[in-house]
Amino acid sequence: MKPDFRRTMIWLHTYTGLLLGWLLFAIFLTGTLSYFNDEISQWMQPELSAHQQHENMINISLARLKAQGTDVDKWRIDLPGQRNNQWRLQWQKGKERQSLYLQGESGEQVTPRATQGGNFFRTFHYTLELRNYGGRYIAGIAAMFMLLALFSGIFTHRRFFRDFFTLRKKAVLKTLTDFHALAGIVTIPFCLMICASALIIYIGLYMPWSAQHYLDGGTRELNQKVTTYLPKLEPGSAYREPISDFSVIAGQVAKLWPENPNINRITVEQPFAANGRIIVERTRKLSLSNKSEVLVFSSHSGEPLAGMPPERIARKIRRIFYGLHEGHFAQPGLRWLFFISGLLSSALIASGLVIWLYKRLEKVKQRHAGHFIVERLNIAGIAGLLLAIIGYFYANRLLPVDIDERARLEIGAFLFIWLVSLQHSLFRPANKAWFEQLSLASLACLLLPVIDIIQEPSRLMRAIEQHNLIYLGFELALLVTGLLLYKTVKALLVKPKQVKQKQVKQKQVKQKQVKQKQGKEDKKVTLKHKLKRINAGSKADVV
Amino acid sequence: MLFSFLIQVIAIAMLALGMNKHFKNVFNRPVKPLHSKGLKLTGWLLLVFSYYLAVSVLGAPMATVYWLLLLPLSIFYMALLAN
Repeated sequence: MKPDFRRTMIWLHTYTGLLLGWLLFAIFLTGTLSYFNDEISQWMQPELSAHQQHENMINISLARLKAQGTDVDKWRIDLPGQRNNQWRLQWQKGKERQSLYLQGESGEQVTPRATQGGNFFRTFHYTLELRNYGGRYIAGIAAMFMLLALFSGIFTHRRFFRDFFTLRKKAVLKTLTDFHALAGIVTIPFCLMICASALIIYIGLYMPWSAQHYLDGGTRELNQKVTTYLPKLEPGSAYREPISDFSVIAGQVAKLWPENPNINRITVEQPFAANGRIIVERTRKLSLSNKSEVLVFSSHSGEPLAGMPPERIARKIRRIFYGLHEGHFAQPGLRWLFFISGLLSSALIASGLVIWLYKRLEKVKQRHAGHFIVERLNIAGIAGLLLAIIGYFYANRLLPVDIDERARLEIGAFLFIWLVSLQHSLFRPANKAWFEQLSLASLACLLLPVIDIIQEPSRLMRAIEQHNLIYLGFELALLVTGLLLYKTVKALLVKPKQVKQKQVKQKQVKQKQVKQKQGKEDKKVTLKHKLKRINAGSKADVV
Repeated sequence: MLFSFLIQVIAIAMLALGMNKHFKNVFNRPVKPLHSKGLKLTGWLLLVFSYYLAVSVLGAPMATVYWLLLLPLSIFYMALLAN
């Protein structure tokens, strides 16, 4: 017996998707949020005000760093830019590193609250908080599964190509399937790029064998050999006072980088040695690669020194994939496009999971354990994750500012809420669990900006005064998410009777949802699945 | 870039109209085979043209990123209109 090719593909699609679907959903959603990594961090550290770069900034920083003593090996100045508002100084003696934050015209010191900020989502989406327990391997396997599901999906939803642009709106399961296929097809380039680049970024972890075969040090040695560095500094050079007026260098930078002279970071190596150097790094804007673009100057005279040698083609390709994955180059418009694609992919995964369950529930009379597990994991994986993310923001605002291990506690809150939501989903009927978790999430989203204002009214006033679109945008996004969740919950409340009214309503809701699809695709999915359930109920009524 | 996006949307619309089902939705009559072919051809040509336009503004690497990320938007938009 020769198995039919298409049937095999459908099987593959169904079970690769199901097995790691929840994990993939979590990875994609948190990964999508980390496109706004800096913006989220900005909201989570309200002590830092938004500021523009001003001319004195670098000179003030240099003076402050000089005061840290002459035995320091390295200085680093992070300057605020379009997306982040951190003006941070770091200095390093041997292995010991210290840092402080500055703000204002004259550079007063501030202490922002301890938090991982948006970085938490970024690290979570590839380490799953299990860095030392193989988290990155699990994420890599998930990426491979996603690729498999993507390719087999093309064969599974083959019929969709024949009537492209079709969204059947009569039955909700059909709409959902159409949506799933459509979202799948339009996000093929995005998902392909994301999954492939994810694998390429950690290629040394996932395929270490060839490097281990040829080099003693394995991938680490390979990396050292293919990456280009600045020449090593010889120790024991004579004492020289570093420059205190940066304008010498600023003029040269503006000349050498006429098209994008925004400086992002300045590193000074061996500031008090005669061979010390200043490395100026600009914001990434013009190239897809994630290799930093630097200029090098002498630390005491400001004379230009030799820059970084170019890398080889293979390395450049990896750099480009890396850059594409992270989207450093993306300006606000493009960043939103990435974000939308990310949400669409998350919705694709979520809708797939929901379809799996309801296709089967329709056919079977007797549910078995598998259905129960999938149903509960759907609730905890989709609604629970949303709750956990919002809970993380709440922890940021509500935990006392000077508590020990604060950043850890915020992450603890995220994981704890997720766990509670899983328990809750286990002990409640599925309908009620969906309803309660989503309405709680909606309420939480709507209340968070209010709490923020009550806690410290001056923050919002300052954001408005300074036209800080990032801060205001975050609050607006919370409100929009909250409203969408509220709409979803309301749609769930429609009773399974009064069939006709409901169908009209369904259409309205769906149209609205679809209009705001970039806002919260995942919620739409849960909504649709609810509607589907209602529909099934009404069908039963008719029968 | 905006211009390129507009042309992309129009191209997708042409492709959708080239399909009998969607043509019937809009004009209430089945599409003639010749029309269908013409619509599809112009659709594909316009699609290529919109990509070319993007490349001419932004250069190939960045243009590809933009173009591929805008494509889902135009397809979704069309799918919502077509039904």
